[in-house]
Amino acid sequence: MEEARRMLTIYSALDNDSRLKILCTIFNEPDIAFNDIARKTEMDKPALAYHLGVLKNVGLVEMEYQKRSKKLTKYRVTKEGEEILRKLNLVVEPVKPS
Amino acid sequence: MHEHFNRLLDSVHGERKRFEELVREACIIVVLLGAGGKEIVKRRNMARKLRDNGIIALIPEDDFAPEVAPSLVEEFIFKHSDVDLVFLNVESWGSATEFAQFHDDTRIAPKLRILTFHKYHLLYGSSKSYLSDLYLTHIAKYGHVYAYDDKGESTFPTSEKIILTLSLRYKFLRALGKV
Repeated sequence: MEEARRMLTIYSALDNDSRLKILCTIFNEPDIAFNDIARKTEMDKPALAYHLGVLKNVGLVEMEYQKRSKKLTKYRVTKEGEEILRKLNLVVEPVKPS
Repeated sequence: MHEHFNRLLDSVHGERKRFEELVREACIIVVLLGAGGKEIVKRRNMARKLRDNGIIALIPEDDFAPEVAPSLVEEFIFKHSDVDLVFLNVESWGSATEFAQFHDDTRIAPKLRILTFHKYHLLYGSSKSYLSDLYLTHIAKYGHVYAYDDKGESTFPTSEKIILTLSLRYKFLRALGKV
């Protein structure tokens, strides 16, 4: 039951085209910087900050500060995030914004 | 490419529905706002409890990228995102400013749940401050200003109890399709 509830949280977070696009972008380019995700997804930075927050919160991505800076971050997909994407049969190719 | 992405999104949606039926629940997203410093520990504990109950609980200082200042990003997020509830514990000048900024915005106010120490709640306390008066305006217009007591001085519930009770009920209503 607990596992099913956890999966519901993860799929609820992912059931959003912006967040799925972001996850695919990070999956295709591990350790990508916040500003590069914004550029590749063509998303406003406040919106991106929120969606990344949701993905991080449910454990699909992890954040790391770039060297010598507490104001610049880079992101990668977690092991659990990779497993989810594999289950969904994700083909590893960049996803363009709609 | 778009076709592939749409298929992927459909798969995600299908899995979400499958797990919703399996556990007979829905997931909601809440944001916890309040004071920084030592008080953030309280919000982190609260967020952990909400997560244990299948609720996505965001703390801006912890979850939002530092590239965008929380004060700049919050209004945009609450107006345009899929956040269900925003709990604002008014316990510092910063959070009082957030309340003043959001309280009369018709796109944010319906999601807003204000928590204030019982002595500052105009209906229960004796405070005559401008902020307490603003609470009354908010109560009259939108409701959802809750008095709490985390010091055990009265019979008012703790902030944690209020947040957990309201979030769980909202989650239940979401599962029933009533919100």
